[in-house]
Amino acid sequence: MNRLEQLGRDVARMQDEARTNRPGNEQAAQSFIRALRRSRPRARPRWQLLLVAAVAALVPLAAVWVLHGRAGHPTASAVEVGQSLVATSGQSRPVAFPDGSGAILTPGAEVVVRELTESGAQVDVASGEVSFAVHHRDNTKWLVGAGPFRVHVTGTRFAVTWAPDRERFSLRLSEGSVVVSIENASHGDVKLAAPASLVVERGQWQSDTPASVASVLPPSASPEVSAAPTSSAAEGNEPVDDRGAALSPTHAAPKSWQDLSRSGDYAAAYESASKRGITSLTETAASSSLLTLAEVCRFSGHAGEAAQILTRLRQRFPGTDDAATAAFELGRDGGGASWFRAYLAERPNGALALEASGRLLEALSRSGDRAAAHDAARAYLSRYPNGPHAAFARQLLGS
Amino acid sequence: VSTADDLVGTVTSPSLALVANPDARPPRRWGPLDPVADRTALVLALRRGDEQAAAAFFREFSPLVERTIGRIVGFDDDLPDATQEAFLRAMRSMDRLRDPQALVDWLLQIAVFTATDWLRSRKRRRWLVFFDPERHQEPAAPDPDDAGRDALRATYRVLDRMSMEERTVFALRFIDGMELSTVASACACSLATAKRRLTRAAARFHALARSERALAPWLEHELRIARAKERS
Repeated sequence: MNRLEQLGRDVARMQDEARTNRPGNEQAAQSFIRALRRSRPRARPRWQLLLVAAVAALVPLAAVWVLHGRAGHPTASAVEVGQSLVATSGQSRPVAFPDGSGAILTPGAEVVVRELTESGAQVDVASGEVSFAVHHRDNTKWLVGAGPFRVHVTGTRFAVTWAPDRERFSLRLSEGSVVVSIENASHGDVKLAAPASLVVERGQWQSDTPASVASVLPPSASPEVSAAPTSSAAEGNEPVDDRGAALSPTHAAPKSWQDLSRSGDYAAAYESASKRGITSLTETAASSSLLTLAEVCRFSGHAGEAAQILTRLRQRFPGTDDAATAAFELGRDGGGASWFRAYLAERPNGALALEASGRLLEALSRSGDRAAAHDAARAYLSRYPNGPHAAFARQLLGS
Repeated sequence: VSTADDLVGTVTSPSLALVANPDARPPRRWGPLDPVADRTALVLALRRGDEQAAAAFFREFSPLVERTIGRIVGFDDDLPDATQEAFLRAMRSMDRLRDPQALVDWLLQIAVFTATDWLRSRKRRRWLVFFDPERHQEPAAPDPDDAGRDALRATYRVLDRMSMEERTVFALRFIDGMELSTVASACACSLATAKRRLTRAAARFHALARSERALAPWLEHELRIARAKERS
């Protein structure tokens, strides 16, 4: 029997023991019958109920069907808050939202559902390309996140691609209009009307959108666009913010907290990230960005926030290289031997294995756990007889 | 629109062993064993709204439904309410059950979808009342084994961090001990999909469980293997 089966069997046994103290089955059966009587439908034309149910069921599926454009694709799956949806390689994944909107994840794409309401949703594109068909209503409130980018939507069709490793965001707008807001964007939000496309890669902007349909809103402007898809004539033709400019083939973006971090200005990077919202970033940024953000916090004197970010990273991206690195960082920041053990368990041959093994010795020695320190010292010498902590390991063993 | 209400009626053939007696007449009075003897008669009576049949239906299958929901959600004071909700959904959807012999598979599907809906509802309640995330995992009855109780809590803490799909297949396969074909039927997915989900769920559980010391006695074996590989 494998270990998970043994654990499951023991958990089941404990549950069953606890359940034996439940009230009798007969009492529950009588309660069920009373509830059944209360739940019987009142007289109401059955065709009305069927019609409402049919329309409610068909609207989101219709959106997905429109997105797909033809039959023969996988059935759309329903979504729930907090769910991470992944399209496995080789097959796209249609998704239906409660408000009647739909999305198609291209193979390899991943999204996280942050919020669902009757009038919209908030969805983060963690990576890959996702096409959306947002069902328009008067109160539609839809938000699509991709790294530091936010696409505010009221009713439109568009595709968002996010490659966190290249920090490349792209948007293809085929219907309606959207407003794109960018973290730490001093020039304000960018409004696009179809047909348009936008690419931002490592701070460099590219757009094939005619200047007549793209505009840069002032920083104080609300990101909401008019409810109905707007024509290009209704859009502002020229920048309304004197710091901004109509999107041109190349346009330098202001420095983001990542830029500031790369330049070594951690205090400014922390300030910039704080404006964007550390908590928000922790919930939406890619794992590699979270490692950088934790570094920014640590080097700017905010160790507590760094630990929170790393802990959350491990929850959001369990089993990844970055999660293992986060464990190492937590150990290095004073979290103790358990974090180095966690790293070594997750990445026994990882790039930080040598360093983690040595720091584990130091942590165990400091904790006074001699037996554990001796075990770790023997393991260290067995693997790294000439490692930088070898002398320390021999000292621990008294040899 | 309830997820369960959308999906019920999709079972076309039973995967669990059933006792069927097609020659039996529908009994006039329903005792505790009659539903086992004649599923077709039971389903017909339930469709007619026969309350005695409904009570017998509940008595017969509520332990199975409550256990299935409990495996997925963990221990919850509201488990009897969730069980009742599953039966109310079943009664509302009885007309859509195509094959009475598939009653148990169909009921399991409803139990699974009720459990996932219940988990979503619990998440919302936590947000509203700052629900203590560990409270619901505490067994109501005293457990003689503190380490075991910690392991029970830790197991569901880990499951809380997994997706609903992974959590469900993990709980049904490893905790309830269901056959994989029954897991697939209960989750309304193909056997291949169930296998993929289970493989993913097991890997994810291992990864997440490493930070749970209470689970070390069960998972230490894997850690030892990793260390041995490291030494070699």
